[in-house]
Amino acid sequence: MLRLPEISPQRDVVPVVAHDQSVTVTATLDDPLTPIIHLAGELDLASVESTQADIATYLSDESVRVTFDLQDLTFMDSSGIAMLVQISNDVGQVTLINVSPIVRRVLEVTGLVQHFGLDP
Amino acid sequence: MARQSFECSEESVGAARRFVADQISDVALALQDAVLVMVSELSTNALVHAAAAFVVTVNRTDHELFVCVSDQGEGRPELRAPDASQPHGRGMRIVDALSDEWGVSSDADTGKSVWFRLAVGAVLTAASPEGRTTEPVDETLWVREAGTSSTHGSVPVTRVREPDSGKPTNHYRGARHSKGRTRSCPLVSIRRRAPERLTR
Repeated sequence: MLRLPEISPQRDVVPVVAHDQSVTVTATLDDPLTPIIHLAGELDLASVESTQADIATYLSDESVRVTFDLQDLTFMDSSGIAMLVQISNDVGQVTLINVSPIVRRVLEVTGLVQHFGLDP
Repeated sequence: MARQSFECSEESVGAARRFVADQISDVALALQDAVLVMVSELSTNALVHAAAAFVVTVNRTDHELFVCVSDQGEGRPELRAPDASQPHGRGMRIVDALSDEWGVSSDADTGKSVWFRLAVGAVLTAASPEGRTTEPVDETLWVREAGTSSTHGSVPVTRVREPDSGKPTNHYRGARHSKGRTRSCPLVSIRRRAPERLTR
């Protein structure tokens, strides 16, 4: 008699793979009042907390404007936007440079283009 | 059709993106980017709002892409309009803007499903929240007329508003693409509204 293999309902669940999902944060601090912070990697729910903690090490009470260089940010969703809005609330002004077309589009549809210092 | 389950873990958001990316690697890059953002938003919602494992389903035809994220958790997605100082509440706004159509359905087996549909090959442009089309090309705003609904096998009647003339014209654009289409999620409610019609 043919016996069918038992199928575990969890069998096709994707385990957490060792894919590097962190964001590398580096900064140019020529003027501590206006740091330029460079983000590289994928900014989403998994990476946002550590990214925000890393960014905080480059910010001081005197910081009045933070510029984020997104040249090497390969992905960002609303988790990343939430982080940027929070930093904007804390610091005063957040400016984004080297924004990819899809990030710009996401900022457009959420009405944040001018808020982050991009030309409309 | 491709389907994959993901565990209730923050890393699953990226895993879901990579799973969908594998299914759409032949699609135009701008469309891929838009799809992956939307997958990320729906997966994030499943984890944050439903605190649940989730299943991603990708259905493709020659003309369109249909992606569904299902979970067993509580909570329904909301289209919100946060002001610039509110950090959260933009996920479904992004899905609403980047998709052609999205909706929510419930099923005893699959639980709650949030899906979006996107024509593959369409020229997509972004409209600002004020409803101003930022690029004066093929942007059409799809507004489902009152009284129509889309269910299995039906042909949705849509009103396409041409931004140039502002004149509404009726099209049966869904007919060709809908014929014989199989959906993995039953369509219960459909929302696709022009951005300027949203109430704050």
